[in-house]
Amino acid sequence: MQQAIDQLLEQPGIWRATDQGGTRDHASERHIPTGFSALDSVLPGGGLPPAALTEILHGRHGMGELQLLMPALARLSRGGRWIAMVAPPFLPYAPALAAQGLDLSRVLTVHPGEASQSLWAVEQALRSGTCAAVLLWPRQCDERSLRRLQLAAEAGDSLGLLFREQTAAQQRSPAALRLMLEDSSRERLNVRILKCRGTPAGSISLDHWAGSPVRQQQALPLEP
Amino acid sequence: MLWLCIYLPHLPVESFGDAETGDRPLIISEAGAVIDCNRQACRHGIKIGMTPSAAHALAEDLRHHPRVIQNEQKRLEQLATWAGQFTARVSLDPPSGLLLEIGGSLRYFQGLEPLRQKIHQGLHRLGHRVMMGIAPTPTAAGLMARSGRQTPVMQRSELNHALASLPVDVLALDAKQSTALQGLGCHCIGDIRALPTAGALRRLGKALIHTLQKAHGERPDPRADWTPPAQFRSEMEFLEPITDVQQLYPGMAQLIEGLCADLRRRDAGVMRLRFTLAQQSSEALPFTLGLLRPGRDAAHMRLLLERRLERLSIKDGITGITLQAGRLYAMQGSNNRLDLITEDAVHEPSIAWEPLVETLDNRLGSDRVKTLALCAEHRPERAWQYIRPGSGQHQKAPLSSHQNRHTRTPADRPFWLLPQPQQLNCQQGQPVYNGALVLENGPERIESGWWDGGDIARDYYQARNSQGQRLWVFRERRGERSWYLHGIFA
Repeated sequence: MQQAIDQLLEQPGIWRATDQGGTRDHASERHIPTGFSALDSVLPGGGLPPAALTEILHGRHGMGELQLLMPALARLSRGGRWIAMVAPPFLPYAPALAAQGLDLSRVLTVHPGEASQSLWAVEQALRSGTCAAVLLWPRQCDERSLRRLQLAAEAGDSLGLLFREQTAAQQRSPAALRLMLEDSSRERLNVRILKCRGTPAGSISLDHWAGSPVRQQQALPLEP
Repeated sequence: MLWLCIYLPHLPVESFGDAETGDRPLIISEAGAVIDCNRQACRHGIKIGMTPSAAHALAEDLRHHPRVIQNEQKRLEQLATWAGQFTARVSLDPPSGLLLEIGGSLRYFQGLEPLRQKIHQGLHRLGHRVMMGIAPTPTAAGLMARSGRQTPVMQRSELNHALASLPVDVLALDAKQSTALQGLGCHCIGDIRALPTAGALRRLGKALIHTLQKAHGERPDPRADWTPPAQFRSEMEFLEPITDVQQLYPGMAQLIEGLCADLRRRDAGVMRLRFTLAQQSSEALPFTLGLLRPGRDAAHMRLLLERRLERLSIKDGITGITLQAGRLYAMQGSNNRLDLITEDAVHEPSIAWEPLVETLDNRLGSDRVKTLALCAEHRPERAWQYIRPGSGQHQKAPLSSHQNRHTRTPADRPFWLLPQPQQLNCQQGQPVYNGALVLENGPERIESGWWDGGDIARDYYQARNSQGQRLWVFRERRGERSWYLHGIFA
């Protein structure tokens, strides 16, 4: 129990009344902790940079790209503002999101028809100030439109989360933080920090990251 | 009683929606004489009373239109409805005046000057040039407005003095009366009042003297109150068909302004604004603007309109616009909630999300903007649904009961669901998706739905392939017993 509490208190997003004076500056208090202490400890400010774009580069779908952000999104969804998903590649499955603590009444899904419409919708959502976070899956996105989105995120004090192919690592990007996900497993996720304002690039791995107890592996009986 | 007269000297021109747009001069004529012209025509030196041919000589690209008195009457009625937001008593003073009884409105609008400013700015936004007069009798207010005197007359005792210096032109005189007045040496109203009554009645006619008596409050001056129509409907016609979408905006914005004023009068709001664009040679084009909750904020509607117009394409010239309000909703006052007693203490006070959703709705179509909700259902594809934002059908119960009944951790469900389960190939009895799948967890048996035709019997597994993808797959328990991919643990 004590161990669990200690672990909890290590999270940079938690303010303790006993911390007289506080060591962190004002700007960093607005950073959005990911909820994974190993990752938060390497990120400046202890979390995702607010009012900016963050890129998650992953290979195929299903590498844990959403799982990595779920604790942060769950907290943001309970802060009064909305979480917008623009042009998600599959159906966002409500029971799973709810189980992660997301407030579904604050999740907005937008399905624009064309790519240009989806960039427009993302920009509106970022700029409006209504959304705490906007998730998008751009098929192709040049640097100029990314810069527009970055400005919109600043204007609306919104967190823009881009999910992109790993090949996008070659391109330049105005995003404040770029994370590359590498071979995940249930117990372990390697996160490479390609770019981060205020800290050198590096790589870390998160252990037991999926947050659920690993089950006993059983030999699964396959029915004939 | 205090009356404010709104006098619209340029109503014949302003009754057309596009009189001042563009830079072409315009004259309106009646009985062989120019009775009104737009600003551009004034700049060319065209004066009221000229013959149209003289005007044509002054300006080459002159537009010339005969007077349409019905249009003016319609416009005046629309403005009377609009003015209903300032006072309950509005009456028409044809051909181009409105009378507002403002004695009872002064306190609400914090005095005469703020009220006058509001009316003036409102009319300016609607594209009208206006003169106003304020006096204790309606006729005197009308005379003051036509004379252009700004100083309001607040007391009956001041009327005599204020009216005496007005020129006789402000009275609607016919030719005979004006020669008679000239012959008598009367140049202002004070001069007429100084004449002996019996003689004046004989020389100038009963009507004129009675008008003056009404103006001075010596004779009753009843006015019929304007009753706005039960359903809001407002029209605007253009002299020339409009082909550029952006040129529609000013006219539509004016119609919205009128609608919002009417809504304020009724203390109501609308959710649908139905425009009808009359086209030159084809059927009228319907055009709807949607709001998420009843409203009457003109600025907000204009913003929506601006964005909506970006997507409108017109092939034909637009000759007129009609605006009808959809169903009216009572506006409810909002209470400031006390934080101590809110139901859901987790939420901070939520911010206004409607503007964003309306913006997206109006450009993308409302079926593309949705939010998620849970359903109490075991079949995975039916355990959720899309709903409209703010429709308040969010159920919290199913989740908790689900957790109670089953001991499974919530992590059993993937974040992505495929729209349709995708059948997987098999190699040596093992399912394959980007490489052979290793089943890590399962099975979770779901058999349900025999009662409604959506019968399923499946064993769900969590699987992983060599690429590191975590997938949610199932195997049919009946029939072919084939494998399907149903979700992705992203």
